[in-house]
Amino acid sequence: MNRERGSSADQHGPARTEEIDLPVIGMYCANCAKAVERALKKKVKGVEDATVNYAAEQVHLKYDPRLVPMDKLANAVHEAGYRLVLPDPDDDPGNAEAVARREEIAKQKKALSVGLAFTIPLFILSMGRDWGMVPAVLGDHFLYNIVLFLLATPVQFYTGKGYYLGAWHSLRNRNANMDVLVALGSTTAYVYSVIVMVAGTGHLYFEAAAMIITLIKLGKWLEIRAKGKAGTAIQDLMKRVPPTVHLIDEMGEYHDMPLNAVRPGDMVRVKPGETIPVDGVIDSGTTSIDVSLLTGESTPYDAETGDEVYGGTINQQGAINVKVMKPGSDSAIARIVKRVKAAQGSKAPIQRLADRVAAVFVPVIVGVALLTLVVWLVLTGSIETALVRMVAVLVIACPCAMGLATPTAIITGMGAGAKKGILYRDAEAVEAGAKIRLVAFDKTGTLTLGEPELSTLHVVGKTKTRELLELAASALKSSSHPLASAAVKMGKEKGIIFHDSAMFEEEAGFGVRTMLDNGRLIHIGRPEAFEELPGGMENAISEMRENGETVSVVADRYGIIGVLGFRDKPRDEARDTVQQLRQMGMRTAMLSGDHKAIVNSIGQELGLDYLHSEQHPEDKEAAVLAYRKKIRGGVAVVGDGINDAPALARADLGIAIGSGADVAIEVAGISLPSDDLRNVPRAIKLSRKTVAVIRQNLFWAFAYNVALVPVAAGVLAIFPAAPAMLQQLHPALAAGAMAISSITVVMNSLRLR
Amino acid sequence: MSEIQRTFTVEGMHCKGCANLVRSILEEDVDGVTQAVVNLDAATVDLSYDDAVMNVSTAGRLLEESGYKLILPTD
Repeated sequence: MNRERGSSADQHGPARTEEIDLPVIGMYCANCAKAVERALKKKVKGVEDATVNYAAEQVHLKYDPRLVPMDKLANAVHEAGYRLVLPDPDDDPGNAEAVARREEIAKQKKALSVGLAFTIPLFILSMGRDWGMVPAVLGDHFLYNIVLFLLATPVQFYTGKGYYLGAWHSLRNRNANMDVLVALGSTTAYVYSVIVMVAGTGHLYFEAAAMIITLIKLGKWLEIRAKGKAGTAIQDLMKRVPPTVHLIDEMGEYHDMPLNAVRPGDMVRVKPGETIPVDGVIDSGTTSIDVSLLTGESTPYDAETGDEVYGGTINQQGAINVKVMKPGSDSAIARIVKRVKAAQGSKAPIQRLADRVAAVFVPVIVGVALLTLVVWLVLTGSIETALVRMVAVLVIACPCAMGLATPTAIITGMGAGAKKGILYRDAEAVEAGAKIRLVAFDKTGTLTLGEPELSTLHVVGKTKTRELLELAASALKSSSHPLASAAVKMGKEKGIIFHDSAMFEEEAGFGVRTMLDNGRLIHIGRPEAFEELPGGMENAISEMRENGETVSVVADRYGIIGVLGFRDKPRDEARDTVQQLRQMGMRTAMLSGDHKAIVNSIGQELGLDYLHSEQHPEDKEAAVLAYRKKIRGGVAVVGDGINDAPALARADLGIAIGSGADVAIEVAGISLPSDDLRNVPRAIKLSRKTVAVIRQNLFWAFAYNVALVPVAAGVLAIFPAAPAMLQQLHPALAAGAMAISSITVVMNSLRLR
Repeated sequence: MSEIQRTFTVEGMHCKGCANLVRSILEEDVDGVTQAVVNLDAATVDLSYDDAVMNVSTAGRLLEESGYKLILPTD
C-alpha cells in the first residue's frame, strides 16, 4: 500500500488529491474490475479516478480526502457486491514515545556535560583565588576575571537555557516553580558579576551562577534516566486477534478476509483453538470459551446458540458460526486497548514536591531581597551598597542542592526496592506510593491462587468419600479443564489409586463421561446437565454456591453418587496483607469479574472493606475513578491480568503482581514479580520512607542557604567584631554552602540503601 | 410510447459482480430503461423499458464496452 500526497492546503483551499492503493476482494472476473471502478467513480463524489488492477486485486484511487471519507468508498464497493479493504487506522504510533524519551535524555546529557566541563575549572579557579592559592600576579590580573566570565557564559546560556524557558512558562501561569528559582538565582549572580567585572570592583559570583545551573541539571538528568521505558505490550494486545477471519458468504462459501473488512451482520466461523475476532452472537454451534481476557477467570465459559461472544477471547474445542455485531475496531479487546490509552493520557503529572516548595519560597525570598534593598538604602543612602546586598540575598537563596534532593532519594529508593523485588517504573510511582489511602485488589490470580481447588466432597447414598474422590479423579484424569486438574491434584495428594478409563467423552455443557476399568460408568458435569436431582440436593447445591463454590455432580449408571465443590482458594498471606494495610491506615477493596457469592465469601474471609463483583474491565475502571473522586489520598490497584489493565492505568498507582500479563506490567507503576502479596504493603512503606527522605533532603538543601541569608543581608555588619568574611556574602561562602548542602543531600539519600 | 418487457440474452457474465454491472449499465446508462432484472444462471436479463425511447443498439454498444454481448430474442 503506498500513499502519495498532493498539495496540502486546508479545508477551504484548493483541492487536494491523495492517491492510494487499496485491496479489493471478491472480483472473479475482469468485468468485476470494471464494476468496482464504476461504483467508485460514479457513486462517490470526489473520486477523481479509480483504476483496478484485476490481477493484483487492487484499486488505485485518486481522490479528495476532504470530500470522501473512507467508509463511503467501502460502502460503494460493497453495494456493487465486492469488498474494499480500508487501511489500518492504528498504524503503530507506539514508538514515538520511546524515541522522544531517548532524545530527551541525550539532550539533557549534552547540556549537563557542557555544564560540568566549564563549571569545574571555574570552581577551581575561583575558589583557588579566594583561598589565596593563586599567585597575586595571576589572580589580580583583569584577564583572570575574563576567563571566569568566559567559563561561566556557556553554562549560563547553553546549559541554563531550559530553565529560562521553564521559568517563563511557569510565570505565565502565575506560578513559581523550581525553574523560576534557578533562573532568578543564577541570572542575578551572573549579571551582577558581569557588571562588577566591567566596573572593576566588588565580588564576582560567576561560580555560584554556574554551580546552581549545573548541579540542578545533574539532578534532572538523573531523574530522566530513572524513568521507565515505554513498551509495546499495549499495542501488542491487538496482535492476539488473528489478522484474517473466516468469513462465510451468503452462498455458504468460506473466504479468508482481513479483520478490518468484516462488518456487522457478517457471518464468521471460529475454529477450535482460534481467538474470537469480533464481538457477536453465536449463530450455530456449541463450545467453551476462555474468557480470562474479560473476567480473569481461566475456567471456560460454556456457550451455545444465542450467547454473546467477545473479540479477544479464546475459543476452545467447539467450532461455531458467529454473527458479527460490532466491527473489529470495536471488539472487547480493542476497547480495552482504547481505555488503557485514554487512562494513560488523562493523567496529569503529580506536582513534584520540590516545585511546590519553590512556589512558596520564591515570593518569600523576593520579599526578603526587596526588604534588604530598602533597609540598606535607608541606612546608607547608597544605592550601590543596597543593590549589592540585595543581589547577595538573591544569589544565596537559590539552593542548588534542591535539584539533587529528589533524584538522589528516588534513585536510591528505586535501587533498594529492586533488591527486594519491588520494581518502580519511574519517580512518579515512588511518590504516588506514599500517598495511597485505598488499595483495590483484583481477585483471581491476585488475592487467590488463580487455580481452583477441590474443597468439598459430598457423598450421596452408600458411596464412601474416598471412593467418590477415586472415581471422580480417575474419570477426570483425561480432561484438561481446570476443575478436572483440581480434582486430580487432590486425588494425588490423598494418594488414591487412579483407574484407567476407556471411552472418554467430554463435551461442553454436558461434562465428562467415561467407563473406568473397574466397570463403573461415570458421568460428571454441572448440576444443570442432569435431568433430575433429588430434592435435598438442590438445596445443598444452592448452599455450596452461596459459599462461593463451583459445583459438579458425579453419577454412575445407577444414579448420583456425589457432589463436588471447587473453590479458588485465597493465598495464604492474603489475610495478613489486608490486616497490615489496615494497620497502616488504609482501606481495602476487591474488584472481581466473578460471581457475587464467591466475592462476598472471600471478601468476608479476608476482611476487605469494599467488594465489587461481576466486573468487566470497564466496570473496574469506573470503580477506580469513583474511588479516586471520593477519597482524599491516592487509590492503588493490584492486579495481574489483561482485564485489570484499564483499572491499573486509571489508578493513582497501579501495582502488577506476579508474572502477570505484559500489559499489566507495562501499565502499572510498580511491578512485583514475586507472587507474595506482602510486597504490596512493603512497597508502600518504601515509598513512604523515600518521600520522607526527599523532605529531609529538601530541608538540608535549603537550611545551609537560608542560614546564610542574614549574612548576605548584612545583618552581621552591625557587629564590627564579626569576621570580615561574614559581614558580607563572600562568594566563597556561597559556593561552599552549595557544595556542602549537595554532599549532605547525597549522603542522606544513601541511608535508604 | 409504451412500456414493454422483453427478455434478452447477455453473454459474458461470469459472476455476481458482472450481473450487477450489467444491471447498473442498463438501468443507469441507457435511456428509457425502467428496470433490468438479471438472471446470472440463465444468462438473461428481463428488461422493462419505454419502447419509444430505448435504443437497443445503444444498449448493446454500452454493454460491449464493458465486455458483454447483448443478444436480441429471436421472436
